[in-house]
Amino acid sequence: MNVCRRTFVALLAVPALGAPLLARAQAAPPLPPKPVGARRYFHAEISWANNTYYTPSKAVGKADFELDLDSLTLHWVLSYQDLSSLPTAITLHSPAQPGATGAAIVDLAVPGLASPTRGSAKLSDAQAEYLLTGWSYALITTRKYIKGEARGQLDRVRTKPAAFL
Amino acid sequence: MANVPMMSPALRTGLALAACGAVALLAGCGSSSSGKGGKTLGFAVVGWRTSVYETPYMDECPDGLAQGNDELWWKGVPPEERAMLTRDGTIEPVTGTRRAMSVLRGPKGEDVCWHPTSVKDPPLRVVEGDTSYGLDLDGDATGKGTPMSCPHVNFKSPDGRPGIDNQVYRILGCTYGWRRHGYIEDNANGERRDTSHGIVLIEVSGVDDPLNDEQVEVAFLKKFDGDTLPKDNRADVLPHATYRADPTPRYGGKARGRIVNGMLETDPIDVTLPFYGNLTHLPLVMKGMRMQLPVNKTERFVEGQIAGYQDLANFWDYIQRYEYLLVTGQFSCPGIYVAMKELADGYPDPKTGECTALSAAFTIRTVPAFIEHGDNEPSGVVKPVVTQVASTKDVASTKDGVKR
Repeated sequence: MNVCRRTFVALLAVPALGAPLLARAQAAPPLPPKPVGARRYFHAEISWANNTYYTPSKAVGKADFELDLDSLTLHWVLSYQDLSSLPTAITLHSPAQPGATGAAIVDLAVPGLASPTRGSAKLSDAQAEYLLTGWSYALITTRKYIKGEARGQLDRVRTKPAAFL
Repeated sequence: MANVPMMSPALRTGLALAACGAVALLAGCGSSSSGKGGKTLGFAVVGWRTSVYETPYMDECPDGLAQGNDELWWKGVPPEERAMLTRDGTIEPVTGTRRAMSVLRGPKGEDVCWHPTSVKDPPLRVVEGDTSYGLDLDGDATGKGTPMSCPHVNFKSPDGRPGIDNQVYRILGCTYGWRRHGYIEDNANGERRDTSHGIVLIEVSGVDDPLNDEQVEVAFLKKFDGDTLPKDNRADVLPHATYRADPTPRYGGKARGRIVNGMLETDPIDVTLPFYGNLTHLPLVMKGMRMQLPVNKTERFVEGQIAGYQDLANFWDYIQRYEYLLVTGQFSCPGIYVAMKELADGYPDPKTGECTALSAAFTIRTVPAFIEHGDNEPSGVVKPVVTQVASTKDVASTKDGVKR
């Protein structure tokens, strides 16, 4: 069967196979297989100076994150100091670059929890993608600063943080 | 035709394609006899992407993706001032006023895309992975450089071939806009499809056997912009349409090639291709360009690869013209400018020794097409407007003497 005839037969077969098999606009090449047992790490330097609004505070902190990509479980260790009060919420937000605002997606601590705090939560595929893309930040909210007293963008780091060794 | 609306979209599409297939079969299935010996195959390039090899967890970018212009601006402004400028952050990065503020971040308010050396940004986060799409363009797998290339780190291909040269990937591969789901390539492909502009035609002549032919001629042409890409009801480009080649000498070129086991491979040529995407018309200036394209496939869309050296000034022109996509593409001009200068790997300047081009690879998506060469007017030629004035004789010759 020559090329033309094969093309013709293939085209005739399309209705039987259904429209979903039709190729759409050019997509990116397929990804290679996911490695098993993969974990990736992130670090956030938390500061009043990272807020999108001016916050005359001295609050600072830091957080380390470990993302288990098999189970999409995020583990964290977070500490803070010099807040104006105990936190009313500590939350992870996405998607947002530094200087932009995202929605709260994970509670990182119960209200009033003292520093440091540890925890874990299961993420969705999209939330994990936000982390890898660099579009997530931790936000500490207090009674005085209800929009957040200190914030830190999660930056990917190459090595496992000491908190998870 | 009252029953037509009752047909499912899938069935209607299928019937349309079957009809198209029948027409194509009768017409020669995207190929024709050239009269010079052998058949001629035609293709329209309906998709074009910078080839970016990605891993599932972005491990080719171990420090994360590149920082965009807005982030760099944001981090350089004191908190109290930026809170005032952005109304406590309610003016988001994509907002026009903030985009304008952030790009004018030179020390004297310079636009950093037009004055990329006016600021010193952190080094661009570039690809550190060892795998890339592309070809071994300089024939050197050691990375030491050749008379036509500067020393650089080579990649290996996804199937393990060494010596792959692709410095455009090294520069842009960690920048969000050029990655999968990134705005820049997805939107450019949609615009090309919707406007039918910037389409490359490929004409392969002298084909005696589409599986193996040791010598064919391959012409790269610009599609006449006025010829629309026909689409189905899902807006996918239909195969087997006829397009006129734009005879403008500005674009195109011819290469010798061969077909090996159904894969067309061309010898290197210097060529300028038409490019359109993201509202930008730009000649794509390539040196030593080669193509690999399967020509015996029966699928509607067939993907191939174009690789070669992109002229450095042409690459920078491309980046500058995308300035308005700094936020949606999450990139920064100064970082790319510095990296581009450092990582240029092709065509050393004989006087300075500095390389003047970047190795690059693009994934192309083609459909079979018929290419017509006629006496079309080249695009871009402005003809004078001539007002025709009827002579007395013309008027007198009309039946009733009244000029119409």
